[in-house]
Amino acid sequence: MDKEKQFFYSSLFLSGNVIGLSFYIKTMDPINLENRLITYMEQFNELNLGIKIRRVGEGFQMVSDDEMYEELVKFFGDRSETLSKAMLETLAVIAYKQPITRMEIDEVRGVNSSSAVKALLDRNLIRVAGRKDVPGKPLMYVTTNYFLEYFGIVDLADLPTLREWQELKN
Amino acid sequence: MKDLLDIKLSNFEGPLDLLLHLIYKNELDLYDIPISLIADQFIESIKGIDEVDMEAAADFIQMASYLIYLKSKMLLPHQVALDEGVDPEEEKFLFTQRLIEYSFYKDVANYLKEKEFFSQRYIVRNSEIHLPIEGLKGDLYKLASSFYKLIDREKEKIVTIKKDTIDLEETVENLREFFKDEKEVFWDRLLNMCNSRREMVVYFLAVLELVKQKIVDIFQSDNFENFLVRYNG
Repeated sequence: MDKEKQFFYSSLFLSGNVIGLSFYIKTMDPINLENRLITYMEQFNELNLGIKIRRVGEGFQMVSDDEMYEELVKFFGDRSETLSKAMLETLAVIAYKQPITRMEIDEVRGVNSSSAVKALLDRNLIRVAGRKDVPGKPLMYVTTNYFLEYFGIVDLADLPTLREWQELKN
Repeated sequence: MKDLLDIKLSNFEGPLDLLLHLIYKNELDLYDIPISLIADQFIESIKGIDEVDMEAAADFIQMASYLIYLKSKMLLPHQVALDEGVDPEEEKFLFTQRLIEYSFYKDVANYLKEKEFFSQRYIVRNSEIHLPIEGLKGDLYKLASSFYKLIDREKEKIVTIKKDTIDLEETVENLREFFKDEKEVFWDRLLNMCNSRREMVVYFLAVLELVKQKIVDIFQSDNFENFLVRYNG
């Protein structure tokens, strides 16, 4: 096993968090790096060690195998509440329209979204990204990197588009 | 008909959600909604409204009045409506677009729910290793949250009878001297020096004042975590 691969695995182990591609670009030969890392990831996952490497949030993360979930969750799981419908809807609107103000979210959903926004802020799924330059200077919200990690999404572009959805509906 | 309209408003996220439900139940075409029918059904649905939440009720009533307005405009002879400066077809189109958009986000929310479920099955390691400290560039929300969390701890009550006032200016001065010597200190250590909740509040205000005067800087590695107060040269 070469040094680069070892560094990749051990850094993911030590961190526990998502490590972005940018980190590896600094420490490794950047040419064709992403493909090499993906290969290392696949090789690692084939070993079926009970731990896996997943691609998430523009980076990689070492996690326990989802097949081990039932056994492990009693000891290591973080039984945080799943998100409410209101929170998911609000999050969906923000994800596509970011940066967006709370009132603009209300417009789309047809209801007041204040409590959902606050709850999402508390969960670090969204954050404030400045103010909109209009009267009242309302706060604008965007999704965080943790949002990608939480849902296991690699990149916002992976979310279904309105066009694709419309085609499915028809 | 009764079954269709036997609706609990709390099951819906709002008037748009209810509208989509009615459209679906009636097997209507989302792209060509019979406004008159939908308006009538919507109003029937909200008649039994016993929402305690006034704000939510208001949203439904507002939608009901809009639907009545739209219905009335569509009943007018086309030319009359145009004379009044309203193009009912265009309004209906815009309204439909709004519904479609909402329907899309509703489906995205379901998509996210699924993603959440599968993602949660991968357990993440609880890292003991600290992330590189980032400057807390004026995110007062995070600062305030961590403060509230910290003062929620139990504190042993000291039963002494003495004058219970603490001077803010004095505390700011004391802390400034303290930092000149100590250079940098974690917030929880400062808290431990406090004997009462009031003192904690004053210490916190004093730290904020020192930040404002650019005498110290604050660093926090994550939401709601302990933060570091560092003397500014």
